Amino acid sequence: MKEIFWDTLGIPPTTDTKKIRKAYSELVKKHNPEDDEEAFRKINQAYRAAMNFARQISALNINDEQMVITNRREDGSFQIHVKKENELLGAPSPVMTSEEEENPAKEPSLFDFGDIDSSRVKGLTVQEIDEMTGYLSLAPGFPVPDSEKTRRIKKFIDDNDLIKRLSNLVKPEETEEAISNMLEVAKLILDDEDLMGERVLWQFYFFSPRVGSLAKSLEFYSKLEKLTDDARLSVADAYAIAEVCPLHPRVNVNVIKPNLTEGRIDFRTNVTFIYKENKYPAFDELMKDENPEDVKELIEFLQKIRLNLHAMLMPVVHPVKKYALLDALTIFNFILRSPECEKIRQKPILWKLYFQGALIKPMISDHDLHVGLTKAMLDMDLSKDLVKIMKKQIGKETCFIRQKMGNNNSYFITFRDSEIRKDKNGKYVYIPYGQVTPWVQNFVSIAVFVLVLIMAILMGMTLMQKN
Amino acid sequence: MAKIGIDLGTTNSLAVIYKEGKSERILNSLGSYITPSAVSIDDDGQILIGEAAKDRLISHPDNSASEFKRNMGLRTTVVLAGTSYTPEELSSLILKKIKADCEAYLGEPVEEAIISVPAYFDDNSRRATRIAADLSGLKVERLINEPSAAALAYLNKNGYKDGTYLVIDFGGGTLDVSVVDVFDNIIEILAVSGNNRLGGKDFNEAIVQDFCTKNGLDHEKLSSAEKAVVYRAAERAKIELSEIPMVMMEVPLDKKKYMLTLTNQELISISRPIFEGIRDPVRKAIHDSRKTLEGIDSIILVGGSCKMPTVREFIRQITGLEPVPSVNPDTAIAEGAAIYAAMKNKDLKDVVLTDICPFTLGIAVNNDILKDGSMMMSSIIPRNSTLPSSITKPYNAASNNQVRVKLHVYQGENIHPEKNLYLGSIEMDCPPTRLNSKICDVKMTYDINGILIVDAITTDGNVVTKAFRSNSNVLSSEEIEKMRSKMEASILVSPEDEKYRVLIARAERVYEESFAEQRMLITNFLMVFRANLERRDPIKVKESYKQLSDLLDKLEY
Repeated sequence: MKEIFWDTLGIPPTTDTKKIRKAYSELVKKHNPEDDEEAFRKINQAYRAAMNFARQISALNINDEQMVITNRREDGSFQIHVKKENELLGAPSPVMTSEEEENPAKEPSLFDFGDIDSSRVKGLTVQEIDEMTGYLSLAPGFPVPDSEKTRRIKKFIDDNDLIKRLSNLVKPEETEEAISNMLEVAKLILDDEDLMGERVLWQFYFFSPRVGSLAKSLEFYSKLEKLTDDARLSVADAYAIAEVCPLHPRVNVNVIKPNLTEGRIDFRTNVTFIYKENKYPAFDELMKDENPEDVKELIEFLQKIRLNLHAMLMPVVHPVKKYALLDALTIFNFILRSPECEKIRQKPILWKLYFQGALIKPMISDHDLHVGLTKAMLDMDLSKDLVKIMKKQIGKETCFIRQKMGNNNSYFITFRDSEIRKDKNGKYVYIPYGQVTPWVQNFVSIAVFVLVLIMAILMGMTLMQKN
Repeated sequence: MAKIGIDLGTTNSLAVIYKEGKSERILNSLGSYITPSAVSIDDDGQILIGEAAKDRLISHPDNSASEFKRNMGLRTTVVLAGTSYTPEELSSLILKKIKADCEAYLGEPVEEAIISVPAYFDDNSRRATRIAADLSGLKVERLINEPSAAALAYLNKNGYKDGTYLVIDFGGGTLDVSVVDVFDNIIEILAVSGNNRLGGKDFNEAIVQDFCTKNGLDHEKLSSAEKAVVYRAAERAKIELSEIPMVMMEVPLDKKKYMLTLTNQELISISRPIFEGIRDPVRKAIHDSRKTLEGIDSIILVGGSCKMPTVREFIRQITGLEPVPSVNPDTAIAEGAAIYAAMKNKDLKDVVLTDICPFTLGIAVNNDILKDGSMMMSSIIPRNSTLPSSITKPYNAASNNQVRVKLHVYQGENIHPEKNLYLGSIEMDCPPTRLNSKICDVKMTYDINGILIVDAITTDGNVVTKAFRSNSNVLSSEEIEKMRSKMEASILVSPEDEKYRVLIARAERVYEESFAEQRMLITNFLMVFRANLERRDPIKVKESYKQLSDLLDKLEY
């Protein structure tokens, strides 16, 4: 196997310059330039290349653990796979802290995800959220946030008539044609140097009904892979695509013949899509017992709003939790608020799709999702019937219907792991599970006490019987 | 056997030895650790080095020389008392004196030394320095860049703390700027830049020009003796300005007294180009190191000119950093050179210094951008490459059926080879090659000793190697041999004798700088002293020596 500069330094690929320098300093002390010119030169070249690598890659926030070297070649070039972490089923983390109470609640808006806000969702900034949800502004009924970027993207979409091209579901007989059409659209985006690394546009693309319905097509994704390879994406661009694609993409960073003497590193990147089958139900499966009339109506509705149908339908878990979470909450808000959804909102079938579909189902017991859903409901006045429908579709997850404080006709759902209330001042009060309400605690302790008592009595009785 | 570090400066030189974890400055025969880099031929043909020679620059300008470091590697000569000397020869005389002083001080032979050179010294100047060392009988395995040495001295004193340092070495004749990075005891020189024609001497020049203009004197018409007096007064004024806000320059010329008052503010306004000349190398070094000003942790100032408050203030302004005062600007470089010698000897473990090549090395190729038949520089080893560096580049044939290649090796940053320094050439035959297909590989290796080796490798595996070692392309080997015999024949003044000669030189210098009535006094005392010397009467000599030196002390301060 050909030695590459990471081997010379004796460390795995890293973006941490401290680690590189540490490795270098230890090697240099062993191979002093005074005594061992040849060895020193080699170490120094590897060091310069590694530092350069780190400088160029560090802006992308890739963890060292995510990088794996593959495809070492004779000329010293190699490939680095950047694995995306699957946070989705990771341990829930508290979204809010006690600081919450000091901050006055914000004006609820369509882009406010029930106050699961920006800074508190892991590592997300307001800007990122805008960026990630920007594509939703392209669905009817949503106000368009006015920024230079969205204007540019909107213009691109209009110029290329993308809404029309992407909005219909693909019927089985037209799969082949759809694949070539969709690849054409991908090519259009990849050809535009300004927009090829735009997350919003790729979200719009991947989450469109048409591309969404090609989710299971290996042919489509392998061809798309080829396209990204030819497009010579920068590492950042490739990463943008990989981050929003709901499959399990990996970014491959190819280091092409590193020029060690000058410490120069050339990168070439592409995206590999990995298809993973999983246990979450597909649309047909989910709807097979439902009334065909209702199903038809639901499909029409989803097509009309052109909204993330794919995310709900696709039997693939969105690989990055923060995106999945934002999708889920944005759709929830949209359904609750948009006038377009007035009618369908009351149908259990919609809620079945929402809660049982592939988007929400995998994270149905996620703490962050619970908090978000509760908060979204707290901002609205929902009838008891609607809340009941929802609760039924949530499934086994322990949740309770509660009445909103000071409003007899307004209800919401809380989940067993947390209690969220809106107090008189409109502030959210968040009580983590374990210190819920005193009576629950009392109830639990009484129950435990009674149990212990019964056990003691039972044990006493058996002992007595033996005697 | 002792290994010493020598700072061979433009104006002053000194030697330091590093032993038992401490650097020790070596005192010369006069009990001072600084030896002025000046050479003078006494009336009896003996050679005076140092303090006496410096004084004689004024009284006997035609027999004395200084600042020859600025001409190292250039084909220039100075005529002293009828004999012409090259800069190499003059430097070797200084080194010879330092070597003798070291041996006397340490009581053991000194044969090896590390000599510091300005980082911006080009290849010819470096080779000239090696030749000078060779002529003086010192074995110099390594030259160290002055800012690297300064950084070493600073770090050795302060415990090799991790960080990025900007070292500004502003000496009498040269300015060197380097960016040094320290991590885990590895001292990495990231970039150097500088100007080997800018130094404290330029301030003197500016003051002299101002003095002449304001007093209506024509600088060109002054005799060399008069010039020397004015320059010395200017230097003294400059040094005094570091202590007091305003100085009065008084110069006796042609029985008249000329005056100039000078403040730091005025000094700044008359020496604007010098300050501007400091700014550029600083900017370039930081840029080359891929750092920003914010990335610099501290700034180390060395070199005599950095003692000037105006220079410090200017550097503080352009960098926004407060210079650290913990090294002695006069001795840091020699100390660093001595530490480096210890490092090489493995007396200092686990500290490694990696230096860089301060200039680009390359060959001249046909200009295929303009295609006008002109030549352009194709760089092979880019500047600031870590040493040792070895890089191979392929080159194509310039015409059809080309069978011969001539490689001209240059050093410098200009795209036009003729504006760079020509180092030499290699010629070789090669198999007939079609236009624009590969004709040969050129491999350049520049090692830590500053030796450049160029290999030309033809496509059929034929290799022609040329080492650009000490065979200077300015001086032929016969010339060097000639110099060697000349230097061996030259006699330095013996240490016992030196003390007297220093006093005489000083008396003669003070005479030049004084007014009529004082001159009378000096002449009288001097004549008595000389007469006693001739008579070889030790008691009388001692007596008149004291009288004369007391008088000079009184007159000077």
